[in-house]
Amino acid sequence: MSITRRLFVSGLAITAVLPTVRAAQAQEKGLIAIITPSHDNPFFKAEAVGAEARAKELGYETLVLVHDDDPNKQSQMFDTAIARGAQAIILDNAGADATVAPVQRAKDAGIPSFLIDREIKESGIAVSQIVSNNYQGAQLGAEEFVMLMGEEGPYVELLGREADTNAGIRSAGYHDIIDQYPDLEMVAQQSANWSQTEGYAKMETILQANPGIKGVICGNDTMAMGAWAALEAAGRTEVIVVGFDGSNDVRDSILNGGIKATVLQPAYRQAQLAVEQADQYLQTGSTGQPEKQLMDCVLINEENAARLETFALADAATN
Amino acid sequence: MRPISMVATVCLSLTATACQIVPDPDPADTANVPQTDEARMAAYVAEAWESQVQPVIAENAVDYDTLRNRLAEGIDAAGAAYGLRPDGEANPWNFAVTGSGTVTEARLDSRAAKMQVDMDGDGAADVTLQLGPVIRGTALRDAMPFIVFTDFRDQIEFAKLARAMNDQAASGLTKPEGDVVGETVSFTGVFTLRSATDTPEIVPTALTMGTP
Repeated sequence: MSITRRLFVSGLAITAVLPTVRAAQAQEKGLIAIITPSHDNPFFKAEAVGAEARAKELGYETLVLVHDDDPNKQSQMFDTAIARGAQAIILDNAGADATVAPVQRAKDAGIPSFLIDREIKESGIAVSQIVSNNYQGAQLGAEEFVMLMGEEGPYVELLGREADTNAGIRSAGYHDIIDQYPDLEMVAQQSANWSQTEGYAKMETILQANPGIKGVICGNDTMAMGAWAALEAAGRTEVIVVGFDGSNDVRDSILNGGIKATVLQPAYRQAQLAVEQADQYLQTGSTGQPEKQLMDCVLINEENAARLETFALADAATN
Repeated sequence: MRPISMVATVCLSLTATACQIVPDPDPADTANVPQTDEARMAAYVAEAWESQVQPVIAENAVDYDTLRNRLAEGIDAAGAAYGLRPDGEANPWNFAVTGSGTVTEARLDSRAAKMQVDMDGDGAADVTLQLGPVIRGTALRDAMPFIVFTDFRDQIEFAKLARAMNDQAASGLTKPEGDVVGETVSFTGVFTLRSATDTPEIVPTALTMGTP
């Protein structure tokens, strides 16, 4: 009952009162819930920080929650957001299938969801799904990898978590490029579940079975960091490692001559954009954009790594 | 010989119902495990190619020199005048272009065959023509206003669509052979341009060698 009333009052505030009050007093705009995977991965932290900062600028209170890639936990967090009368939910979800139900539940309660980074398997439930153009980005990373490898040699692929569409799409993008070069031979392909510690452990094992490897292409940066640490420990720093995300850790490694390249996902901007679309939707009833939107990725190597900071690339001097 | 116009001629000479475009199987695909996404997207593209894709290219194709002049005013000026792109922030412009120039360099034996083409007669290459079969990018898909990401299941299906469109474009071309450097090439194609100073990497949908 209190939820309905709150929504009704908020609706009134937005449609009737807001235009006449100063923006600085807009804390009245209500609550935005920001739900992401664990902030242990700086990528998700950047999302949460970006979304929170933009929401506050636009006059919202924020509730930042972490689901740790656990669909049950995510479901409880949706209940919390609904009970707290959130105006909107910004979500990096815990599974393409498992997330459909809670997003629908929020929608039924009158709360629109704006998804970032990861898709869900259905459209028409969330208002926005803004995801990185992982296929385009993976092709960029693969082209760089092929070039670094000199178009030949045995290599390893570390995959992300299987339930996540992004693991599959990046691998597809990699192989659409790499498989065109018959002298590049994949000797091992394993999932390290996006995890740095698993990346380290898997790399150690793979290296024992395949001491001759020349390169490792990874589905994200944390696995690349793990793989690089294992290679370093084994004294194999000549092995070419390429990641995906554009984290500051990998940036620093690139600048120190470690990992060779990664692919930047504009995570910070993506999260801000989701909040802006939420705000526009709450005020006008439309984002003015299609539900599913792709944002292009950018190759990061030693040429531009210095311009990378917290998942955003500063403009180069030239156009 | 223009394969596309040849197909069109054949179509015209038959009744509409008898005309069906069946793409040649791409040998690159048989190496992969068969996936329903790929087959479904290939079928979708085969059906839409003549009826929807080619008309969009024909309607939006701009002469290379005209486009180049407008690009001098900046990428967004050219995009607003001639470009195609999906809605959403920071999506790059795609252009459909026609033109002819002189081949300055060619790598035809590669899986990602390419020709560099001088368009303004100064001897330096201005554009790259991607002859495939491996074609980089998603320009063809992203230039089509009737293709909307929301209508597809996920990025994987959407990526297979881009690949199928590239495959369709490559398989419709008669790839030039021999030493083509110095020869004239005329083309219609689509490309993505992120910055006005980038070299267009055009995916040709029609290609003729020699003086048109």
